Amino acid sequence: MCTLRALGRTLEAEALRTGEIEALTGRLRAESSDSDAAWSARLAGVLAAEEERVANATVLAEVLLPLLRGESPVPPVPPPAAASPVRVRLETAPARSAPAAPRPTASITDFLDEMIAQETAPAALSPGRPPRAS
Amino acid sequence: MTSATLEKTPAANAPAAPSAGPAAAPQRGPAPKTRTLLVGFDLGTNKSCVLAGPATGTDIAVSKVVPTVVGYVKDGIVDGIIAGNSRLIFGEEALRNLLHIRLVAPVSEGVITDPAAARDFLQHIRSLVDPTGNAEIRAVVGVPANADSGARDDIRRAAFGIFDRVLMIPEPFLAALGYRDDSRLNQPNYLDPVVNSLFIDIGGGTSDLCLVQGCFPSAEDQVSIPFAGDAIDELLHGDLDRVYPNNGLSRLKVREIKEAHAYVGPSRKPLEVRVIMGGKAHTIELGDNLARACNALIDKIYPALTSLIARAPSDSVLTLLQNIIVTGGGSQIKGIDAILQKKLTDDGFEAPRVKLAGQDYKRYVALGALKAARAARENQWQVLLG
Repeated sequence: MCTLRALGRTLEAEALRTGEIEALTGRLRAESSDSDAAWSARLAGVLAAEEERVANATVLAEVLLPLLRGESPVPPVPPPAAASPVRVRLETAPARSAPAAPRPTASITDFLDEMIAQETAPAALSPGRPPRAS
Repeated sequence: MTSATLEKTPAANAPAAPSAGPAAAPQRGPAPKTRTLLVGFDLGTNKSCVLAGPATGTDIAVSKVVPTVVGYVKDGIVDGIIAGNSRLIFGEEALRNLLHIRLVAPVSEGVITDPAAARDFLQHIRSLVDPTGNAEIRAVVGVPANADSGARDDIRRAAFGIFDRVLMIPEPFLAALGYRDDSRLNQPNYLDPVVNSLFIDIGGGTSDLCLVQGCFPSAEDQVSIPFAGDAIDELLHGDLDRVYPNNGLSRLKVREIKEAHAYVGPSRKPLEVRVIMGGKAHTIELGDNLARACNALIDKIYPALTSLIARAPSDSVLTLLQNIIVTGGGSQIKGIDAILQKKLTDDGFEAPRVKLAGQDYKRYVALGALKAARAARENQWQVLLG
């Protein structure tokens, strides 16, 4: 829910809050011996902690992304094409110790286009792996 | 005890003929199809997995693992021995009735070797997915990495009239799609296996390795080794026959022993197994035999693993080394992750991490196939023509 809110997907976050989360917390509340005030405080504390965790992750991603682009540019992923096959190299790996920032991923439909292109292209013209970066 | 002979016939070039007999595929006339069902199908040498669901949504209405065997009931079997007095049985039912059937395995080393039995098996799969017979069936079928055109044509011929549309996709790539947790794609720390990973899919007939780096793998990104579970069974069986002549153990029994006790690495002794030979119980020590048979798999897989790592762009290798995933039945061999990881470390690779796919290993190829079926555009499907 907190992640959806951070991504601006408020409708989905609200649907999650009023649906699954409310049902789950309702069941837990029924089993808890805490007073209403204590329960509300606990729940608020959990939500606050999660919001802070998502916010920290978002800030980290915002700091890392320009650094990653500076070291190993990631080409933008085009929207799924109706007819033309797409071959996109999506990632060159970040340093092992740095967490991976969220990045767009080619769709399965695009993968299928690439597969069909490989199957139908003559062997001499079939797309090959890009030269290995030194 | 009579041992049923598991028949694996040589590859045949003849087109598949529809099977005869009372249990043969019902003739489907040109009745209009009332709905479309999508199928993700892992046609394995020993076990097949089928997942199916409606074209829209994410529901999985059918999820089955079926041993890839067809049982043709022998003549003269008394009524009631076989359920429904069927002349044709499949999967677990066939394995339970070995005394009364001719057992045929239509797939060997990942490819169809008995076209007629393959058609019967696919018809059975279709009946599991759509008992009414009224649905249009679109199936994504996993094939071994770098399966040649002959193997693909065999699948098309077997599927003609049974599946309405097909797509064939390499199994290790489907495993990556299936293993991918779509609900976590937006999480910052989630390592999407489709973006940068190396999958090792160890089945019954083949061990397939595939480099998956954000695009559909080329032929050079995939390796298929015709050495897998069945080859281990053969090595183990040969060893047992040498040490315990006339043991009378069937290949199926040897496979059971392997599946219960298989491991790689240094020999573990004593590893005692109770078996019935000639009706009498015996305890035999199998530590060295199992180690020899299973370690042979490592000897085959490891060079292919390092050759694919060498293909990866240097900037991607560190992350790739953290994302080596073993799936398929071979992932159940004890210690296979640790041994592969140790070999990579000993060879100087930086902090490799080899993971097992987990308890859902049987489903990942079929799950990836179903995801592909749901994503495929109309013009990406192949229409089967007679």
